[in-house]
Amino acid sequence: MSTPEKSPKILIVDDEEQILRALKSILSARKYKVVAAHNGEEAIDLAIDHNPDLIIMDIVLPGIGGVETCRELRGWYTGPILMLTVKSDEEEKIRALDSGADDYLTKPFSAGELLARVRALLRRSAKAMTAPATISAGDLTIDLAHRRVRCAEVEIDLTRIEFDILSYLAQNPDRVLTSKMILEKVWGPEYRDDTQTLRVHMSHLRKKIEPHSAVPRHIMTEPGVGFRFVI
Amino acid sequence: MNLLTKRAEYLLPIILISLATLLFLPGRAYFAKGQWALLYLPVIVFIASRYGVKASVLTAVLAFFTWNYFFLPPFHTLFIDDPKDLLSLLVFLLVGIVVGLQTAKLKEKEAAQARLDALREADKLKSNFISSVSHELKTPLASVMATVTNLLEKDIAWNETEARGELESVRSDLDRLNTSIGSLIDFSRLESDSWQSKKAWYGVGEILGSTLAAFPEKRRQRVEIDLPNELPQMKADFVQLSRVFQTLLENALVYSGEKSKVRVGAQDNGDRLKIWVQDEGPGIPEAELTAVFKKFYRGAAAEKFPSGVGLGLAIAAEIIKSHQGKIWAENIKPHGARIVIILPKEGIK
Repeated sequence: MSTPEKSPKILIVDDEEQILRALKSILSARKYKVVAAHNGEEAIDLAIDHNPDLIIMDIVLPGIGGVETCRELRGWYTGPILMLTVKSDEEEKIRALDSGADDYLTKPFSAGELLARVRALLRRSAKAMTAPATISAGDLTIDLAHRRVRCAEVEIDLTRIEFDILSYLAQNPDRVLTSKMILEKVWGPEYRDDTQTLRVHMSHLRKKIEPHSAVPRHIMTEPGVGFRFVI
Repeated sequence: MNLLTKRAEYLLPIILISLATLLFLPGRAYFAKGQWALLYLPVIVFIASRYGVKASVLTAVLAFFTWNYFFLPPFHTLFIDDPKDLLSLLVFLLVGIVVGLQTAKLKEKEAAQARLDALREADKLKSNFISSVSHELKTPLASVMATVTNLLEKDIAWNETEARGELESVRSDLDRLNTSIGSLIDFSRLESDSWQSKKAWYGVGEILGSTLAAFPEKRRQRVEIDLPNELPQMKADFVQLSRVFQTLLENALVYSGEKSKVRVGAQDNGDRLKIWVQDEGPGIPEAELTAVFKKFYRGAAAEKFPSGVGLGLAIAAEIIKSHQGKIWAENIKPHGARIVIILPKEGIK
């Protein structure tokens, strides 16, 4: 949790007053500082003035729209951006991620889901200084320093590629990672479009680490987008 | 099939006239020429009453010429000796046209009736739809409204446990609303063809896993998944199939006892993949096994359970159809319902 004297500042952008109100209520109760904008232009102005630690923005905005706003913000803003989307819009989600958003959350969402995403994104931007040596998720323990994985105290034999995928996912829990991002990180930029290779390794990895090999609990598929690690 | 019925209109006159002629021919010597003409009339009337004017004119002309050829002396020529015989042609044509017109009118009337019936049926469906939708949307809304305003009343100082309990029920009402609205949106997207499937290779478990993740922990624990470890992947639209599984799981959980298990299984049948979801509930009445997949259909049990807008299984059926698969419902022993999905080989790797 955040400390009161240095609580993160979050810019929320939505044209619906009810959503702004709900977001404000959820976030300020957790001692986050909240700044609100009603459209893309206002969001850009407020982002310049306040330099927030995180921006939460609806993908549908009057005027220049969420995706375009995100693209403009990315010209200089380096903090995390969380997009709010509706379920039916897979293409919008991908466009949002391509335009520089770090993750999306589907409306309607619960406070718990929102806070999990917010924490995941803020953690990521603060990660550099506090990289944990081990990560635990259910029965799974990932020892990053020694590159070892145990499931219910049983050592699991992973290939180098499998371990790299797992550690990248596990270091970004609750956050969507696109296939492109994983491929770039694990294989290198020249392999960014090789999604079939990723699927094969992902399937092997899941068989080894998931408690029920056929039904994943930790590595969830985000259809058409990528994967999300759930603790 | 269709082609054959279309052609019958013209084939049948030829066949029937030929048959009639063959039948009459041996008696040619016993009657006068005029009586033979009369015997063709039933054929003309029959054709006219079934196929209308065009076919009956054809029959009349055919009848006249065969009568002329076989029964008018000189036999086996089309030479008309007596101009009065032309009267027979006129009678044939007249009878054919009058009866044919009558038939056409009758058919038009029947078609109009059928259209009216279809409209009435659609109207009934629409009013069923409106009543089930407004019921399904208003019930949770009414309950939320009542619960929240109750919490807001100042006459009672709610303690935290009480307030939480009330809010939990608000939450489950909202879940129900969300499901109903989702169904309506998905259904209209499918109906308007604006939800095309985007197929890619996925494992059944992969889709199930992400579907289950959206269920509350308590309900998830009732679901037992038994998939073979080496189940092949299939080419499917992840979101659409996940929608199907969500409906099947939701139904199974709702229509069976709170402590009973819901089982999901799959099997590699060589050229197909078989997937099923079964519960330990009372099952589905035999008479409703196919009807449950109709849109807006709500079974007898819908009265007892919060059953949604009656679109879940219709949406599932539509999605499975677009995957060239099959879906059906069956009852299992000792009791329970099972929904089975078959996905064809072309979609399996």
